[in-house]
Amino acid sequence: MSELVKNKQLSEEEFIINMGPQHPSTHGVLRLILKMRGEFIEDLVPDVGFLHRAIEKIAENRTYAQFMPFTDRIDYCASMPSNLAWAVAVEKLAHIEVPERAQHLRVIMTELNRIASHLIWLGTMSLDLGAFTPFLYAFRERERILDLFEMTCGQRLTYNYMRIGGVSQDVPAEFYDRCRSFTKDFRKKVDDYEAILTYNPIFLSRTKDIAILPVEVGLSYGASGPTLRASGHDWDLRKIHPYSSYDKFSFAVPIGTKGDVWDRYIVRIEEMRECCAIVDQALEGLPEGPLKAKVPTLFKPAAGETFARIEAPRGEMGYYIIADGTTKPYRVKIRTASFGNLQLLRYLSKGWKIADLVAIFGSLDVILPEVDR
Amino acid sequence: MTKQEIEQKISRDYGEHIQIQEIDQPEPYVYINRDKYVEFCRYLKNDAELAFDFLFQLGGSHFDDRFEICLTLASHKHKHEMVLKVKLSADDPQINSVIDTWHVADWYELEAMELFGIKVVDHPEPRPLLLYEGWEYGFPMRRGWTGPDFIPMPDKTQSAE
Repeated sequence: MSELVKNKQLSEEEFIINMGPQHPSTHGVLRLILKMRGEFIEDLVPDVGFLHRAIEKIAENRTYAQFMPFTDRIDYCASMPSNLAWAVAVEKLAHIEVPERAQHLRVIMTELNRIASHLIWLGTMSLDLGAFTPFLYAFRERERILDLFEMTCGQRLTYNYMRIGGVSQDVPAEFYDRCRSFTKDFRKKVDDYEAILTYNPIFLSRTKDIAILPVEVGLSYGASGPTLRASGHDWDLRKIHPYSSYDKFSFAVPIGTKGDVWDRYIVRIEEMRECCAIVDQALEGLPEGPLKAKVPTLFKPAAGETFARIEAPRGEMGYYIIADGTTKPYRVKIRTASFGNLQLLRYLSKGWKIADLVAIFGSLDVILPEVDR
Repeated sequence: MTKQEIEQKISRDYGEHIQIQEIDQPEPYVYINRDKYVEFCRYLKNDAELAFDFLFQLGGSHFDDRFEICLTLASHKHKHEMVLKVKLSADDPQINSVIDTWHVADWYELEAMELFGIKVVDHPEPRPLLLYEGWEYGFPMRRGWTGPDFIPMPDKTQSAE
């Protein structure tokens, strides 16, 4: 692994340093091997796989419904979207229509989870850049979202809330008021985060014009989600290929202008506000009705193939399923957003200082269990 | 472009090298011959009407008589999608790299190499990606793989029937 960098001839000023796997700003277990010239990064190789749990192999040995809890562990900061992607993929495979109430509940949960996931990103990224307060603020608000989830499905991190054809249970009566008051308060809290960070001179000098990502490079490297939208590319699967009744809600897709670290920051901040708008609309128009389509207990989709893509907090996530007509999938390939976004790191950090690497990596919002699966 | 339009267009240009799969899905599923694979990928990306500029995923799969590489492609320009597949022989699965066309294929190909043993012959930096250095128990994603401390999952689904 390290031979990659080692075998190349090093000049007198060049040296190799190792960063991670246990490092406060690698957000999980990521090892980076850096080839440096003084303080500047010449080349970099990410070493991943520390969290590899062979989830794709597990999928081949579990029924479609039994695999749902494993999808929680793919991205544990955003379990709801991981659940949703699996549910959407299996429903597309077996042509299942999901009742409207379940669709709305899925949207509410996914968007709340998107806020929670962005809050973790905001907290950790600002912590990496030396701002301690936003971390505390972000986790304070995230706690309220986790309370809403706990109230609904009893879990605070790995929800296992979605079911093939619907959701597992209804929201309790007190959910409505607590959720409304959260979205109402949260908009003001986002203003607070912005007051601390957005135009803070220190923050600006650490983020403005750092590591600019052109759209074509982003596409070729498989970047998606806020990372790609920050470069000014208007692409959101919730708008382009609407799934789960997203076409019923009006919301804006924030896009950046330049694609530097600051743009990737501001796009996520704006996205949190839009999430509140979606949650409000979905809660307002929450229809009555069943929570789950009629799916046989012994669920056996016909042999076939399918794939589904959804917009997870970090970008496009999806599953490719090959079904052979039994109760278990023949093959499941998991596509996660971070797998593409992390490959960008090598391109983006060349020529920048090692202190900028922390900002660049933070702005990509990579989560390692999603890369390793 | 719709499913029919894409199918018509690629069969006009690459008719003798592709097989279109009959499937009840909204996207076209296409097999390409292995020796035309890299060229076809370049064509899919660079053709103005198709413009598949985004590689969503690339992954191997193992069947009784063959291996397959499956690519899910999307066009951000025209908002259409397709699935491209290549059949590889069971004894010596080999394929060329498409990193030049979509850079994200880099790690996906490394993954297919170490988990399925599909050889990507001109990959610029072959190395283990997900498994640890010194892994010597073969290719774990192949069907029927076992390792020294591998305990197969108890098959609970059969008793449910």
